[in-house]
Amino acid sequence: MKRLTRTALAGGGGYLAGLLVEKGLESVIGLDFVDGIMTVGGAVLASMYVNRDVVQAAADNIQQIFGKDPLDLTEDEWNQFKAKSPKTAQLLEKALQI
Amino acid sequence: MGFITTLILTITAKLGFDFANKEGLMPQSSYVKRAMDALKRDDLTTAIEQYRLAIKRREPSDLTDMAEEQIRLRIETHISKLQHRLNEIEASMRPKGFIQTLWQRFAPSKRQELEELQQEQAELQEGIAILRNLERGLENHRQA
Repeated sequence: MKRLTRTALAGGGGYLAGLLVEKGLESVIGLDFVDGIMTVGGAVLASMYVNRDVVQAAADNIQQIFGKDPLDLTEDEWNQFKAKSPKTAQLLEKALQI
Repeated sequence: MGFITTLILTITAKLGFDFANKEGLMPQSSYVKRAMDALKRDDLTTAIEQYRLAIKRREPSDLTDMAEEQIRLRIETHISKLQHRLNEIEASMRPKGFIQTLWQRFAPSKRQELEELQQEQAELQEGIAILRNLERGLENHRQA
């Protein structure tokens, strides 16, 4: 019984010490351990979705300029957008196979 | 042992990531992604900063050109909205005749209205100047 108590106390103490070290380090480096590795991985993964984000930004801009959804644009409006943003328009045309 | 390995990995990753990030060493598309995320929040300063990092170490690509187009387009849209409101204000401030000029100058309610419009006019002009600065900054990064 005495040995059991001692083991439990040592385990509890070890856990607390580990927790303190982890939290202390986290506050010093400002990053969660798992996050640190995930951040690097996330930056690489993010690149896979970047074209979608550019298309979304273009759609938001179209909405702000013409006040309507990109799908509702007239040919004139599309040409206006194309003049201002030729490369993105090219990407959109390729994506939509216009 | 596992704990120490994780600790070393984390610190290395954190220091390495910060350095690589600030020096433009991360994949170009990750900066473009962050620039587009900032644009979604209408945070033009961050979007331009991320665009700058994207072309700091690497040649501009189709992807960075598209990002630049979208950032510039957003700035132009904001400028044109502010300019439109500025034109409206300036048109309403311009007196149309002698009687109206007198009325605007001496009627207390009109005078207050005029002061409010003048304040809004100054704020709009300041906003346009800030946006033009951002636009110039974007242009400089592209040419640098």
